[in-house]
Amino acid sequence: MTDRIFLWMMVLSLCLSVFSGNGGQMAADLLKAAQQALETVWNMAGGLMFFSGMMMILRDAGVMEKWAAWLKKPLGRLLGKGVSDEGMQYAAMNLTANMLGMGNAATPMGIRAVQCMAKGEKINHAMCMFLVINISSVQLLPTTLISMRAAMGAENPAKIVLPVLIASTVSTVTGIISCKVMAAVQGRKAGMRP
Amino acid sequence: MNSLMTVLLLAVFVFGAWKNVPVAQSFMTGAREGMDTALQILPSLFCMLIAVAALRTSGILEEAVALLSPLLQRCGIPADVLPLFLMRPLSGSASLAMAGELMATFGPDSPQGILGAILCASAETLFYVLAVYAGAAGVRKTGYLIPCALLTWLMGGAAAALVWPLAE
Repeated sequence: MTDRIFLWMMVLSLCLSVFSGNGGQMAADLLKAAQQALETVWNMAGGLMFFSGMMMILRDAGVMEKWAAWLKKPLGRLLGKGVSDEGMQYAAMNLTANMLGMGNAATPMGIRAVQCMAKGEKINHAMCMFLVINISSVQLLPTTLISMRAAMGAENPAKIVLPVLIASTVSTVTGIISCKVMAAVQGRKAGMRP
Repeated sequence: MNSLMTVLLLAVFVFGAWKNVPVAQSFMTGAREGMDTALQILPSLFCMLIAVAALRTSGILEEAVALLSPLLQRCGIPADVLPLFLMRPLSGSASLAMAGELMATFGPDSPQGILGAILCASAETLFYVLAVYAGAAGVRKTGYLIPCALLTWLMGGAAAALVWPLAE
């Protein structure tokens, strides 16, 4: 699927730029993007290393285990059976950090969580559910946008909190339901096959 | 909010020391793992960022905006936010810049400024998250994840278009 998406994004974009006559621009932009992409990854690596280090201290201090035990029931119901205790711990930490708006800190934990859940090249239901929750945004306080609005001179910068909460709740619930439905549909299909 | 982060970091160190964790050793072990992870996700992230750049240069977003704008206007939704909505799953920095532009052009308390901020705050950079996690887990077949993810983005956007007046 990722292969197909990459292929389509590239073919579609390149076709369009050739037909609209900015083919020369495209080649230059792609090379520039390649440089910038490397820069992005490089910058991200520093944050990853830092927060992985912090996470390791938390793990060695036993905080992760305690926290995951708290969240075990609701999270277990969401992700289903078959996720190791370690995977559950990282998933719990990742979702908590995301809710608090610490995306940078959440990423290394999320990565460890999916690595614990992964079984081969094909995605499984637990991973799907975990990623769709991550993608749908579970942040409780949109700090970046609030401070941006404050900088721009909004009358009440934090007034977006409620609508943001509603919109992200709608998208998260949509994600959970659609994932469950797809899993059920696929399960039925697989069951029908002899 | 950033000072909350600093306090939490302090708490981690203090708690670690209290629990007799070899703090520097643990930190270094984690950092080492973080470095491995960064190398592991580099190719998939690189690939995704290139594709996003191609998409942006191609002008396909502008075509989509021209196509959909009249429809949105008829529904009473400020169509100026459409480029931002379409950019949000592709690039975090670009969509943030667009939200800033909307606020600067129309004012932070205008419908455009408010809806732009809500759209940015209520969704993640879908393809970025996907590239990072799929790359790290070595997953190539993503099954029904991408359709589900796109659906969450659409539904979140629709909800934002309905409830933004709450922040007016």
